[in-house]
Amino acid sequence: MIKLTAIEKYYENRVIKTFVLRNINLEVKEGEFVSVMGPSGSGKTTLLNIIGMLDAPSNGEYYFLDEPVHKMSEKRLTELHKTYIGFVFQSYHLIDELTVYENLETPLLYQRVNSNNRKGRVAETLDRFGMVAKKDLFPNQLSGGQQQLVAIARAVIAEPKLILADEPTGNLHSEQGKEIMDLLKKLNEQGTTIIQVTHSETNAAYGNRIIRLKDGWIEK
Amino acid sequence: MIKNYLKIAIRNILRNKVFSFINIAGIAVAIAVAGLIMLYVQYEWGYDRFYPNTNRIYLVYCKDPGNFFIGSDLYAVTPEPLGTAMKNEFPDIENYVTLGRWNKALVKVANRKVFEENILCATAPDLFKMFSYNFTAGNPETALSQPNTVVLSENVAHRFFGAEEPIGKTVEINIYGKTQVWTVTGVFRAMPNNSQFSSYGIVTSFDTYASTIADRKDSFQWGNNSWFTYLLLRKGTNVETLQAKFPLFVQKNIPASVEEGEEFFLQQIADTHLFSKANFGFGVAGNLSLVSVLSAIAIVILAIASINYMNLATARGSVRAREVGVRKVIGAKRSQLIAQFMGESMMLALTAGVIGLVLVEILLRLFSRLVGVDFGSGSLSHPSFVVGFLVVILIVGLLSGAYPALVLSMYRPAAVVKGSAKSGKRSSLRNVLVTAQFAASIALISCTIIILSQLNYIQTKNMGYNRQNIIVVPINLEKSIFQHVGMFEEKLREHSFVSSVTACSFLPIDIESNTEVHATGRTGSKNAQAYCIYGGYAFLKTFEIQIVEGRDFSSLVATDSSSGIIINQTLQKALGRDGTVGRMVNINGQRFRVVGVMKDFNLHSVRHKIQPLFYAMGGWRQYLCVRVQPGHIGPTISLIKTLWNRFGAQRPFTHTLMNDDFKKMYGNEERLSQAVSFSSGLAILIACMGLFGLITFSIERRRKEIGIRKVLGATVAEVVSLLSSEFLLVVMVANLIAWPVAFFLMRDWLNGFAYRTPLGLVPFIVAAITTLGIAGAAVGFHAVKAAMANPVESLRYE
Repeated sequence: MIKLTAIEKYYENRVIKTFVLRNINLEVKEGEFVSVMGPSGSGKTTLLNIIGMLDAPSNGEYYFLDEPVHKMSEKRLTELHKTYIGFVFQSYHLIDELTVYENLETPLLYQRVNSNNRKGRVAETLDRFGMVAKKDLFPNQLSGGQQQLVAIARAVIAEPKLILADEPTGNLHSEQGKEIMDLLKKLNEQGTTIIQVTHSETNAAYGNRIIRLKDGWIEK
Repeated sequence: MIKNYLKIAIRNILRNKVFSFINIAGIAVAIAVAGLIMLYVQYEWGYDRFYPNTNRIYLVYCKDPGNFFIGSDLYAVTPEPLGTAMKNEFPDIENYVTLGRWNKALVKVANRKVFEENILCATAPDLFKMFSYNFTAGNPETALSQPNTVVLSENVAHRFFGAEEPIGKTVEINIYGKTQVWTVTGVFRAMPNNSQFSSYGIVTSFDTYASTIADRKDSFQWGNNSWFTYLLLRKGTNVETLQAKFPLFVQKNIPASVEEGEEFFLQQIADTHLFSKANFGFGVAGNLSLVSVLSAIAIVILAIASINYMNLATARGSVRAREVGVRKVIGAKRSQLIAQFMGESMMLALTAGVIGLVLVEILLRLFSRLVGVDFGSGSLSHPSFVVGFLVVILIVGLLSGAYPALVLSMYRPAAVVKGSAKSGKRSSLRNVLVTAQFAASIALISCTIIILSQLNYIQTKNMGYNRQNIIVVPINLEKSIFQHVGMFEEKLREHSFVSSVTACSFLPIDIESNTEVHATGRTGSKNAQAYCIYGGYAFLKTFEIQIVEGRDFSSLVATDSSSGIIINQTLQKALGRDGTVGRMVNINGQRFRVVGVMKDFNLHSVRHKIQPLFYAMGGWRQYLCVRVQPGHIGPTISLIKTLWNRFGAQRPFTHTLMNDDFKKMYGNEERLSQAVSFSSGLAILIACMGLFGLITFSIERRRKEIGIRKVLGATVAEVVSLLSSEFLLVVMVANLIAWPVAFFLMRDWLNGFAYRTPLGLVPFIVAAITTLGIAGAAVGFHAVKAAMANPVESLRYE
């Protein structure tokens, strides 16, 4: 599904090049649950952003479903990531001005799903995540765990093939964290490919493969 | 999708009350100002522009070389035979109308009531056809074909006859002292206020009107310019080519005896209001400078309010950036985000527009008084206003929304979701925009001060006459007084509180008549064009004009009243050696002796230099001027009124105070100063609201920095200066930009006055202090509050 060849990422100013990622070669198959680990500043989030097409690599080749991402137009990229990829962030990133219901609805709006179909899918998702009672609340009226639940619901509502999770439990206490991890595991079992960044060995263990980054290199 | 955007927009407006208030209030006020000004500009611009034939209707005006009147030798009045002769000569002319008018005619209706009406006499039915009069009764083709017939406007008909049927009724009209009975044969819909014919509710048969003035035979001859000639040109006529044929036409048609080198020109009727070139035009002259100044002001104020929106929207960008990032991550395209932000600004502009419309409605009457124009009822529902208003809203929405939409939609999602969005930092463009806002406000303030000081200069300048405590009564149209003015004066002089009385042809503030003064031909003497004023023995005394040489007229010297003149110092200079007391000069073939020289006074507005002038006795009298002891104006007015009625006057008694007439003469300057001072106040208010918003936001964003600095030992004063210096610098730079702009604008404006206040540094310094003070207050309030806050509060959550 994902194939990275000799990916490099650096920031340049007049004097020095600062490398974030060096010579990353990575392949992820459909249905995998990969955990990316490493100390702070090792390039985990950058790697995730490149895979999620939010950031472009400085060098190297990236194939997503056998299509060359590094050669694509901006438009095609948006198209690709909105159809195939869902994101979950450490700090949830819900839209504060929208209710739970509206937050879930937004990705479908951007995919031009028609009104009836949209209502059906939002209702179904609310039901599946047990949030029907909370659909009219705003994000700041929810606990952190509940917010992350909404964020995951929002990520899966568009039925992506791939979920990218950047320390999804980082802001949660262990009880809530466990629930979220169980949920991700379940989604993976239902067929969604998941790549997560995490600091916690426990959480990393939910995945079936661990990639360790250090100073931008993948540790062998 | 739209619903989603709307929700976000509304929630954003509600959540950020301060910002929303600043934006909506600013834009609403700006839109209201723009709406009012648009109403005025449309009114003025549409003046005489709405007749179906407007494009083909031309006024013929005439150049009378060498005969200058207040600086111009062009006149809108032409000889009566001109129209007919031109029509016969030029096939390009489809039709023509010759117009005469008689203002304030006395009209008696069925022996009941007397009205003062303006009367138009024209070669009908051409007038009705050319200007598309709309008849509600009677036939425009035949209405005035019989002698002694008139048509009335609906308003006048209603005033005369109430609900009764006007057709067939008779009215008595007094023209040139002759009363005739006229039969009403038609009623037309009154012309809109912005037609030069709007105040003419009576049109009479041309021939009968002509016969009433038949004893003034020269009225109908070449050489007597007292008629208005309008031409309707055929489609596709080249005006330049037609005009080029006029010199030959003059040679061929005007008898050599009266030909004085006149030249004729054409001006499109719609241009005669704002761009009138000729003296004595038919309609009210438009105030082009007010139209252009107000248009500029509307644009400036709209820009200032739009800039507020842009600045606040981009400053708050870091807050919105997260939303942008999230939306991009979950699939929004940039175009969709641009649409969303544009939608928000549009909605804000629309909300502001609704409030603005309410403001327009509330302020309309005040504004109408300010610009001195009656817009008439229903002006706000007129399609041109509605469309224009919507266009203004649309432009404001687009203008304010475009830049924030482009900036906000540009954020890269990766950076944003990582929490390192770089918006909200000191933006140079934002500073440029704030500088522009303040520069505009400062320029307006400086202009206000300069205009006000020129007005003050006019009010306090010694014009050479004393205009206080003088009651002015127009008497020329009232036969019973006009013919017995000497007796009337006597009666007034009996009272001790009446200091002096004189009848005169003009008020010294605006003298309208001029003629040639011929020197007697001695070497060293010159002819001169001079203005003339006629008055009684007490003329100089009444207006307190000083004699510098010779003496005033005296009733003891018999020749004074028949052949004496008093000249002013400018005429004295112009005449050379003949301008000496005791010398003789020749005026219109009659010899006059110079008895005295009066001190120069301003005989026109201070826009014009003092011109040569002489004062003689006898001649035409327009006004009776009464100087009273201070504090006796009220009783004197009632005294004159009693005498007025005792003398058997037919017209209602009217009077003015000379001081008011003087002020009215500077109405345009007064209006300009009011418009500019009002708008500069608004501009600075809106600009400061924006500044207040920006500083609020900037402090919000730097709360942590302020906390850290305080922990490290910064004093309140240091923090305040840190926060406010940036903004005060902006205001200072704005001053430097605004000064030269205001200087050059005002120098040009002041150059329009022959007598003017010097253009010094004071207005600019005052403007600088004002803006720094107001901006300092807006910034300082917040800065002090932020600086005094307990740093622990702001650092707690880090």
